[in-house]
Amino acid sequence: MAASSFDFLIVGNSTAAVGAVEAIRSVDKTSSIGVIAHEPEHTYSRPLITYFVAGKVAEDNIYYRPADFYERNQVELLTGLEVTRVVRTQQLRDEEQSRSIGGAGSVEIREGEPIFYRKAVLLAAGGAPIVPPVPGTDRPGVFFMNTIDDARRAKGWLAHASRAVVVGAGLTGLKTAEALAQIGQEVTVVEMMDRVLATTMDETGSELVKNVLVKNGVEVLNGVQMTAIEGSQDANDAAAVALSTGERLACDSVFLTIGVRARTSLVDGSGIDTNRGILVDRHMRTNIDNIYAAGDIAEAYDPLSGGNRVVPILPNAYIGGRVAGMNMAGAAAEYNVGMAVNSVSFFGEPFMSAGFATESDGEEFRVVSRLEGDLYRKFVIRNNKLVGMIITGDVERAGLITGAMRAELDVSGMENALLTGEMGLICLPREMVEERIHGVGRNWL
Amino acid sequence: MLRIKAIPDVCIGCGLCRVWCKVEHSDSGSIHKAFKPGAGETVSCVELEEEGCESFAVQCRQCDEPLCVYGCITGAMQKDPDTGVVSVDESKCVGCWTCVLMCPNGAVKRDRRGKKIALKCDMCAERGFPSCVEHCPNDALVLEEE
Repeated sequence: MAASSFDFLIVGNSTAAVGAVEAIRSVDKTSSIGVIAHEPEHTYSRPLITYFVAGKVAEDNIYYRPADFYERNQVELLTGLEVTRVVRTQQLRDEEQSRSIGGAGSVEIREGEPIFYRKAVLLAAGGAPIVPPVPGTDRPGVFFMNTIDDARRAKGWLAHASRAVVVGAGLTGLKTAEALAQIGQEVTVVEMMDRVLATTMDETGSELVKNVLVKNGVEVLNGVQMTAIEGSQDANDAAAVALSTGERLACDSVFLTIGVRARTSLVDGSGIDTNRGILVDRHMRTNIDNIYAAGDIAEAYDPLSGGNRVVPILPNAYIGGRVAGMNMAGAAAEYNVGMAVNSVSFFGEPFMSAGFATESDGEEFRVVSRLEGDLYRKFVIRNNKLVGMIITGDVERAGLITGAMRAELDVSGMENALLTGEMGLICLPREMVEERIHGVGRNWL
Repeated sequence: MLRIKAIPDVCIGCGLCRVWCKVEHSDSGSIHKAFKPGAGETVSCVELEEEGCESFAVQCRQCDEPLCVYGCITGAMQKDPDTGVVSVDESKCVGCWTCVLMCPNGAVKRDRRGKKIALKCDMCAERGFPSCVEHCPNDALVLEEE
């Protein structure tokens, strides 16, 4: 059998992969595209799996693109394959074979034949959930919330469970806690840090989030570590979570949502540069020709820090995938809008943050903020430019703020308009207004 | 591809664009009924911005690189490849408001009348011609073709 090969190969089948497919097909209708998926699934929305657990989104509505997505885009989807390693041309053992395929390289498959690519490969395999180094994480009743299959298995288990512990108060952990509470589980969140959403919210914002959770019946323990997941006396199933305080939380399910780590092992020994993720330039190219990376696996340009950073959020995965796809297909696009942005609702209450949201007033940053009841607005300013924000409750037109951040708008004298929420396009310099209301919204990439 | 374009120089700030947008998106679809007591909340996809004697309307520009679509966590927000119109699939939207946070013009709204979903200018798809443009008394909103 001839080895399978494609012009463009995409490792991963989630947001960044979809962004790349749609970008490639917008400029190239004929080159072949292969998508390699570890999970045997049609592309689905990863953030929706907690909504699925909550029963708010049916399983057949979790898909990120319509059923005919691959067919319409002439993509061959290869599911159930785990890519173990990326090999570039120079490393191919059989040079002859490489030449006959015209291959730029290949990827190795666990227990399978390698798959070759002729033009370029995109590594978009995402992140793997971090397993806390404590005993008992492999017990029945312990779940991650990373894949639809995790969610399906958890949902089945929860049918005969009532008391859950969620370990990790990041976005996934808290959305999991919300979902569990909504289906009538008793829920305790255990977080090592002194507050929830510690990477995206400052102390005030975290407190507001926590208040909403507590008001809706979720117990939140901060500054506490899990030391073990214990079984019951007569069964192996998870029955309690032991804490650093010496306490034990009796439970019948445990959710591990500490975070994800970029799957950089994919490029071990390949000569591809990595740090916390696979390092890419503003074209989402790695240091090796024809090899690109995007999504949670990549460490890409963050305009606010001016350097590379892993920012594992869905919008950046799509945009990074799109930029990669454009460049793979020979079109121009740059990744300039990769700052952190987060919008999330808990029990119907909206919380938003962007950029350096957690910074406080000091030498580098100036902070203006206003807290009235549950309504919080905070803006972080550096050299007269907005570099961070938090808005809770009244989130109308919040995109004006991220737009101002992306455009590096000088906000001198605008503090009041920002704090009252009265800022509009009309506050912008004339040429910027012209671009926004007469332009065609093409200049972001 | 059609887009709605605001002309600040001739905008008189009357706000009829908002009024007619609300009518179009009201339950009754009638200007005689939409603002009556008990008619229900009205929502506008158009924002009228004013400062001093300057004013202009802001609605979706149906961007070529739509950040709202790219940020959508469910796939509900899509740009039609043929018409260029960016629209929300109500059955898929879960009201996470990422699109609200992504739109640099602040042109995606929250519709909280029933199921919480994103609301934005759909170029009056059902009506056939944007109502705000049709009812602007001073041609401060025009339809441009690319």
